[in-house]
Amino acid sequence: MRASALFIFALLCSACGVDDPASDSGVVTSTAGLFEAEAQFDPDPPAVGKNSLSLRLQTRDGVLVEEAEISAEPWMPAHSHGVAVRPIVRAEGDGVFLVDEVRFTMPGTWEVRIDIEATNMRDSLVVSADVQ
Amino acid sequence: MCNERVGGTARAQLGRLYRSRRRHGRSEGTAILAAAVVGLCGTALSRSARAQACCTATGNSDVGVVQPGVQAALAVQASWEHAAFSYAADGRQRALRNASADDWVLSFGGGVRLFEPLALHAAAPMRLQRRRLGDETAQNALRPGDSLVGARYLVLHDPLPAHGAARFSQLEIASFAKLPTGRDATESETSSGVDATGDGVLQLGLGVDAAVRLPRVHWLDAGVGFALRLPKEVSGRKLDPGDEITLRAGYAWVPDVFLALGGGVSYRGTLATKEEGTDIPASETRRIRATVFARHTLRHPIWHLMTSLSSDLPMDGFGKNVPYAGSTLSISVQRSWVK
Repeated sequence: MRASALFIFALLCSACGVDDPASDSGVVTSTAGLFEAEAQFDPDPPAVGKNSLSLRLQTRDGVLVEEAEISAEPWMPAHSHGVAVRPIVRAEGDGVFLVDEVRFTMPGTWEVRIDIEATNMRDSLVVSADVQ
Repeated sequence: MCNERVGGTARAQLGRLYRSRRRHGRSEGTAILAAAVVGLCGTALSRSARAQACCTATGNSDVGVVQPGVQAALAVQASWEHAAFSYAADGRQRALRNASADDWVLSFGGGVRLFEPLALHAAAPMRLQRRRLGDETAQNALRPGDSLVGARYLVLHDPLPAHGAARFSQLEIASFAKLPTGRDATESETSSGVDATGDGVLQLGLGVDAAVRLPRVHWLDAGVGFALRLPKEVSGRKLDPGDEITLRAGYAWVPDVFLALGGGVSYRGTLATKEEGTDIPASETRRIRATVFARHTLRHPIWHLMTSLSSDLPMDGFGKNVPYAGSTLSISVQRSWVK
């Protein structure tokens, strides 16, 4: 009986480790390496509720992207779900695109998955967010 | 056994029960009912272990489980969970500063013993959820949660009391299917996700529950379970939620069949989530909760009242990837039928 109790206690304790913290994003490179974006959340760090995400977008050659078709989707990878409200994206000039109405519905690690189509190139990038 | 808290009707019922079981020995009826008491206490821990990790603060329950010595049961449970903090992906606990989440759940359950070792049960919750995100107006939603059907097979049931040494009293195999009758977060229609009341996947679980009777009035109760969480497809992507492991261990002080007090701990962990067959890094979840409970028999052996308080532990490492963690207060009433 005592051995069983010790085993259960040890099992529970072994599950209590704290892992390395998740990293937040500043400069993000797209999946195929065609684009690079400087990402900035407002508020920073991002919070539960309404947020916006500013992207300063350039090609891998360092040319600012002025016109692009961009769509964004908040996604919580650990729990396999997104949100009901789709963000709105608008160009602000000088290669800056504002992704507004980014709504995180709960605290935790989120991603903002972004599809970009510009200058006859198509790629996607992921901006991580540690939402509090 | 029949102390001052027992009315005359209850005394008569208990007497009839004892007489009907005389051929098995005078203590068997008491022991069987005490085992049922402990079994019900175990369900408090089981509920705690199965608390959902994601969008809904409280989980499905084992309301209406038919315990050894009981032929059928009907139960209703009301619970309230208040979220006070969250566990991040790195296991750190953080106060819930920008949101509030409260769930009120009314669960109905019942079961029947088909023949001596095998019993079936089912439970269905109705959830009232409230979420406030940032400085926005709070949103409410009332929807069904995930339902559960289960079967329990009694492998070992030794009703004899422990005289001077611990006795392995009960071993039961439990299986369940958790049905996605609640709304998945991917189908949410609200900006706060308040209407997400279910996991969105079918779960098939198998486990073992055991009870050990110590001398006099002490019981130990433990369980282990594993649940397959079947894949789902969202927007053309195949998502494979991690399978679930549950462990629980508890203690109950059972001075008689009318009262049980106890507590325990439960662990629930899920393996990494897969997307298109690839593991998502740091997507495992875990949740360790502590539970205390009290069970009182209102009218022996028919009506039982149980209250429990379960809580996540606001310390680093006791959870992982749990957006809403906090405390759950539950009260349930059960009507039992014995032979």
